[in-house]
Amino acid sequence: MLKYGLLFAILFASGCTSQIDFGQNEIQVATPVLEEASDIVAIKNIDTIPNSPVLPDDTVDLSFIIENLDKTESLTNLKVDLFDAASFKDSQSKTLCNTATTVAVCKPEGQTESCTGNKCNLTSLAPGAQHLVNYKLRAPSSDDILKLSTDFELRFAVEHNFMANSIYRPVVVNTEEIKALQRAGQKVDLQAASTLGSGPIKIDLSLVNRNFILNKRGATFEAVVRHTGSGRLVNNRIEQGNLKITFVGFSCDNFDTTLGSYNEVFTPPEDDTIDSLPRCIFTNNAMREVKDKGGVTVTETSGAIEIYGEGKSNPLLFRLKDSGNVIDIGSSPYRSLEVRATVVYSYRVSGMSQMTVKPLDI
Amino acid sequence: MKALFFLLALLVAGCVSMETSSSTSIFSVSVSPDDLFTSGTGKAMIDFINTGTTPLRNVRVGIYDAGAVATNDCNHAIGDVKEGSFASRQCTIVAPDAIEQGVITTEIKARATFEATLGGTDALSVMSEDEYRIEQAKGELMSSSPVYVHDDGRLKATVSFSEQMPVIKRPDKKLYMYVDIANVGAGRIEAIEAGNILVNGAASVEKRIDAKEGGTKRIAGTVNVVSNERGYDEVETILYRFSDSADSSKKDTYIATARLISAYTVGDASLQYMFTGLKDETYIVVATVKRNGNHYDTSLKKRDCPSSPIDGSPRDCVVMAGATQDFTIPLTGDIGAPADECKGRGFGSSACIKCTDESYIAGSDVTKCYSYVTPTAGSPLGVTCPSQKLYIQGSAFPRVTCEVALPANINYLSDYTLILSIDYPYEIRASQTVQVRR
Repeated sequence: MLKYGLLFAILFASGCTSQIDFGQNEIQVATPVLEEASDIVAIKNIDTIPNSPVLPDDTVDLSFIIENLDKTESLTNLKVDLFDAASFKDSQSKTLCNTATTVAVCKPEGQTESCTGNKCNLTSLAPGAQHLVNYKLRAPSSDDILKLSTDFELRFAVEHNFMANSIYRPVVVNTEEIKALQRAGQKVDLQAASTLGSGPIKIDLSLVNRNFILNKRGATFEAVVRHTGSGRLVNNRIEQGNLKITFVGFSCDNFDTTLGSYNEVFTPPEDDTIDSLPRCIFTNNAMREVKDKGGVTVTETSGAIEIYGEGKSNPLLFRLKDSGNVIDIGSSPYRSLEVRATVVYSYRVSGMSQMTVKPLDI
Repeated sequence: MKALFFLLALLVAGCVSMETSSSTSIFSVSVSPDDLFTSGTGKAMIDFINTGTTPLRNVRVGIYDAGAVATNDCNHAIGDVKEGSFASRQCTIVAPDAIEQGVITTEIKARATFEATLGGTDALSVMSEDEYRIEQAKGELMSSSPVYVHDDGRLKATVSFSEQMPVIKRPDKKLYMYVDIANVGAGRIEAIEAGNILVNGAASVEKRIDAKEGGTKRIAGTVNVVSNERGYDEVETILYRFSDSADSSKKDTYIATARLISAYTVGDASLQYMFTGLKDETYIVVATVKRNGNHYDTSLKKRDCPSSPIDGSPRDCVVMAGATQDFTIPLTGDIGAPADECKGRGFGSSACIKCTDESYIAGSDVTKCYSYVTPTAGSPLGVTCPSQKLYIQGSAFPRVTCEVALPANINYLSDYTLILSIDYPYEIRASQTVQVRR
């Protein structure tokens, strides 16, 4: 019993002591991450004129300002949606806003762009710009509220498209350089920096298990889509074809594409060359074959990336081959490469105005 | 205690002034006599003075609440009130037949509504990428983030840009102009109608000119225009190679022109110019201020230009390459060609009102008015502002963001003028107490 206990203790202790990989004593890689602002849309100055309480059947202006907080990018495909106006009506037609189906009933004042239901398109919002949204509404009548003072919540949302960008610069280190450093008893400090662009969706890029790539050896990259904003990612997923991960300085031959996740999410990667530098581009465009109820084989998209409860996607893994056509930096001691990721997404930020409709005491 | 009383008095006075006037249009109502007997009549005088520097349009005054006294329909359409002008209107008030106390105090409330335009010009410097590289290499690049404020006492427009100045012209870069508008007056404004905020880009000016004389010297300086409330639409410095000859048939040779302003402007300006690429020789620099292509009689003093060429005007300066030459040009005289319909007529005369509607020079000492064309046509700058009705949010409006499309070809450092114009309605109120006694 004591013998087994001792063996277990030794096993346990050895498990607790992490073993370093080749070269990690000599090559120390810092991984600083610069993460830009998360919230890029603000709904501010939510107001009603007249202020609450309002009189039954009185006209009410509901207004708010949409502000693009980003300093460089425009908000495109901007939409505003008065999706729950409770018992409030359009001021002119006196039709309940909530009865809108395909044709808008309550749309912003001066609206010239098209609407689907009460969801109306707005022009793109430049960096730092503000847009005033003003609805001309009519409060429910006394009969509607049974002559009782009644509280309402008017809910609206702003949707927009945005592009998340991430850049990660991993380092490839030559084994000869590590041996030279071991002989000299020296160490080298390197940096594999990441920059995550603004917006509520971030893409984390990193190496799995280690912090540099050994020349002519395999390595595994990990990409995780992360939600950091206070609003909602529309459909809670990154749609098919909207995620691109580009490995600059790598050829697609460097990657082992037999892993299951490639086939589930990505189409076969495409090689490209810009400025004499090879690059390999992965896009989440995968299709898969399934059988329908009648047993007929059909294809369906499978590249959409779901965001789960913790606000993160499953890790997307990209494995560099460990043998054969592997990355080779020649005689250079080390070299930085680049991984870029972009994702286009639709995002929704909600707002609400509380209002009391109160008949006048006589 | 005395201090407290003084403070209280100040506070009360402050409340009154907020109700009665804004800083550029004084509005008041006075009643004569200010105590009436029952059934008695009196006069309410409504005075409106435009103390600002721009005309006010569609001015209407009237009493909207006469309190315990009666007034017949007391609303007057005045029309336009020019800067420095005033208008008075009178209404009859009638005290009630009977009052329950010996004396009552009542308040007469009046208001004035009008339309005004807040305008201003903002300078925009744009530099080519090549010039940026040169300036950066020399360590002479000076960047700044200018904020322009235009304030007429009622509205204040603060203009800023998304890029530092000078803006480096790049094919993929957009430039945005931000206009933050606030009500800083004592009156009210509810909204600015769609399309009433306009920004026009005026023609370019280049203040740094390569004279291509094959040398490395430069002549630089500042042209200070003292406007004296006169308008001008062109300021330039012209460079000639000096012939140094008493023989008038041997003319000085024209080399280059640096246009420093090419948009209608009223107000003082301090404009820098620079001619580069000069040989180590003597040149003539001429500074001119024009309106409608006509020179102002600038009455330059000799001291502004210590060395004038023979037969030259004092504004024609002989300058050695490498030197600095500044000019100060007070606009004291008339420009050469007043509009035909206004020739010889006094400022504000009826025949000139037609032309003054859209074109006149402000200032009480001006004796003629002149027509001009607002130089916005053919502007090389495309400025796109959203056309949306803006409601005030507290004391400020939502920010207006305009996209500025820069011209394709920028050589060296070019200055542009952005002309901002905001048409808006405004309302100010005033009140006066009246006593009625049996």
